Amino acid sequence: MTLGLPGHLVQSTLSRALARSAHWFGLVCLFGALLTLSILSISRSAELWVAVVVILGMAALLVALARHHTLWLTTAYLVLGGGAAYFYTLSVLSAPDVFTTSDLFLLALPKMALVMVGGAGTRAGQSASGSAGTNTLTGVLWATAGFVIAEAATVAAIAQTDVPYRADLFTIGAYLLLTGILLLAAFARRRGAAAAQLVIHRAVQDDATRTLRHDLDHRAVALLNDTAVSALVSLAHLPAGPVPEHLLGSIRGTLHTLTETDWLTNADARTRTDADSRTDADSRPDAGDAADVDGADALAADAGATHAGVTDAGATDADARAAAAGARIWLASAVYSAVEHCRDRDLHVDVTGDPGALRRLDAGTDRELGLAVQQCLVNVILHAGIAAAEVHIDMPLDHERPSLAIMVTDAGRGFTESESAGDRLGLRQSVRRRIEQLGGSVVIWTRPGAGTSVLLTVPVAATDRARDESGGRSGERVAS
Amino acid sequence: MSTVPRADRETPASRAAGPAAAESAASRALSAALATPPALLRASTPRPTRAQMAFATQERLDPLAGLAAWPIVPGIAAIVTVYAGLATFLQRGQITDGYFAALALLFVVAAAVTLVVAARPGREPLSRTAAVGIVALAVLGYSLEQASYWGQNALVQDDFGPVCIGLLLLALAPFRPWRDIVVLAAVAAVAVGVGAIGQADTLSIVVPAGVYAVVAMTQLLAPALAGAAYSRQVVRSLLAWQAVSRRATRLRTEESRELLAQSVIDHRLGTLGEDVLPFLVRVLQQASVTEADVARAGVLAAEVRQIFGALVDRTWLDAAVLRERQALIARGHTPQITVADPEQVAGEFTAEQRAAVTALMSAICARPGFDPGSLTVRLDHNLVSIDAHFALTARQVHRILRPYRAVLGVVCGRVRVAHRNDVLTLTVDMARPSQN
Repeated sequence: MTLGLPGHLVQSTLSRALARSAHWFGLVCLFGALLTLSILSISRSAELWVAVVVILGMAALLVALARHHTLWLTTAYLVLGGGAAYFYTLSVLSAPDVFTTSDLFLLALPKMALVMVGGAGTRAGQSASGSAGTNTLTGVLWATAGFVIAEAATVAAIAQTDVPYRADLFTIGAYLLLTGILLLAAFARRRGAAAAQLVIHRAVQDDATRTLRHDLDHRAVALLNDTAVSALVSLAHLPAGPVPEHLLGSIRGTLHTLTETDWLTNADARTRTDADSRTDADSRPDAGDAADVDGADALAADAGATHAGVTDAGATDADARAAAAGARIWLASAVYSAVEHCRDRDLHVDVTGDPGALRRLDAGTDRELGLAVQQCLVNVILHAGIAAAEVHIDMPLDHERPSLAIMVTDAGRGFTESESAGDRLGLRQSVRRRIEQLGGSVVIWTRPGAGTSVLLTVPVAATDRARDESGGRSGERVAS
Repeated sequence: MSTVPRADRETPASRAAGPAAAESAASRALSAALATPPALLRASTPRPTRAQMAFATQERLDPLAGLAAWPIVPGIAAIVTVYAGLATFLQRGQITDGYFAALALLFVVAAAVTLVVAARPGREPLSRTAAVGIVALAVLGYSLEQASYWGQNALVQDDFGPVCIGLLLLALAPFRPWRDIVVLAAVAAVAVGVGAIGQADTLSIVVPAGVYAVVAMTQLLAPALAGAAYSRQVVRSLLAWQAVSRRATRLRTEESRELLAQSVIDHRLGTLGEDVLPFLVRVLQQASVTEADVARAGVLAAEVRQIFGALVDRTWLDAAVLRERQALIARGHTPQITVADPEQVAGEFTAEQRAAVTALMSAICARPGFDPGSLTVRLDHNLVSIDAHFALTARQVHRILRPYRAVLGVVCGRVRVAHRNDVLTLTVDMARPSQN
């Protein structure tokens, strides 16, 4: 992901991360010191308890400092830490003839934890001064203070023992490492990187805008192909003479849509509203039964006629009601409208399979699928050289990715897909792109002389499946 | 109405004012936008999910921050190498097997070199395999070091192994998720703890064996866990920022939706307006067609399809080139930008890859010294090639491209840059880095 931090957030974010890092370094050191004291106390007398208590206090203060970065806590940590380093050194070195030098890693543990106040101090400095840009430099000053106090406390403790003082390289190394990283964090983000970050942020925003425009363009092309281009192609296939009424109606509708409505904005708004409400609609327990109310009753009456030959003589009333509900959904669907539209143009269309499965589609998907089916059927009219097609609707049995499939088949002249002209937008835009934008897929089987089958598959919500299965039916089989 | 300044409102005037002014104006606008997110954005910052945290690294989320953190890598690699060498030299009296001592140095140096090579900017992100390899080499170095001192080791604290492993793990902080660092640190800590306890009988300070283990393990764990804590904190901050930023981008884009839709309607109706719509109106009025009308309908259908077909085939790269071309013209240049996408792979680019390549093109075109008649962009399967003439030294060109190279390395793959005889050749392997 290229959405890196903008310049004004870099320092504060780095300060927070470095502070957290330094806290953990210090806590590990203090934990090591406590473990050391615990192990030593097993073999020695209990005089180490003072050191254990002060180290525990120091660790508690460091935890508090990690949560609340205040100047007071930082100062308190330095003061208590100095005392802890003193008692710890004194306690460890008090055993005679065990440790003969002071430059031991064991003795450096609380000192390194004290130096790490520099990391914490980056944020304490922020709180105090309110300037994020100077945080890390403030941290260097805190680390230096921690280092000096730690060394002073250790020297004071060592002075009370027989062990000679030798500066340990571990504390010095930890101090140099921390200050080096703090300085790197302060100066690493140079002008070039900041400028590049801005260019990248702008590119991300531009890409989002371009993608939106691209989608709108594609939607517009698909719509225009469905309307104006389709009308032109139909006219180009007519013999001279009167224009059939259904084509005149289609042209009238096209002109009205394109010149008197906000066609793209409306379609776009509908799609977005559908997408936004899809989740809600899917989660409604009775979403598929919406057609049972109000004006749908009129369709139900038609459905009785349409399904007369489908319902078994011995079917129960419940079965008949379910059949009627499935039929209502079919008759209200955009796929049905597409089929009827092409039947008006003298194409004989057989619908088989499970049209009731269309209940699983939301309004937007139904509309887009209907337009894609219509384009497939228009292609049959224009290019197949045959006046019959079949539309088969089904739900493939895939419980993980429920989907709805529609196969549009004709026994016409077929074609070679790779050789079809590049300016043929029907399959590309009105079918393939449209379905792919729904998250679906398009598969075409065709070859010259062997007809064409176009399989459109779109994902559907899984919420209705359980109800379908519990009802013991996945829809009525119809043939209309 | 949002009060967020719009960074994408670029005017011809701002373009004409020159690259610096344009960039500066855009930068100010974008900075202001980023600095003042709408209340909606501030309302809730989503907490990163466990899955996001498992794979995210500072380098992947913010390649430029990874680039900024890069100096720590050669720095720590140098410290590790020098420290190992110095420790070996200072303890030469304790070495019982010189062969093992030399091998130990070799393995630790190999770990440091692997770190430098794997974390270098412009390459794919440092992988888990590389991280495991680095730590494995270092642990092996530690084992050989212990073998070289076995029976003569005076002080555990003087062994270079634990410190070196800890520092190497610290250096991994910008490049690996915190869990990886913790796991590697834990495994390595067990190894050094066992190694220290194993020599308890022969060490010069007489304390319980556990103290030796504490010393060795703390030397390793303190810097390693500090690195893990850094990685975790910075990744959390970045993910939170990106969530807010993405929402801001989405909001700004949505704000322009209606304007864009109207613009698209105007353009597309413009395509149909002169001929097609009047023709359809006439057919509707006459309710019949002549032979000429039928032929005319065929011609119009073919023309419109051709125009729409070209529009549909236009990719993000075409749009980017058009934008840069317009910007160069506005600055008084005569641009010659060539684009080739013979395999039509532009559509396979992800949003971040598109943004990275577009940003690179913008950066190239906006730089003084760039010959506006020389840019060639070619997309092939798994390879992006960019050629341009630059009247700059190779050093200057490399410095300019350094940030973009880092970004491309993370979102695309390995980047190669060559600049000879004023000709810049930049190639990007599009084998997208894996999540590991």
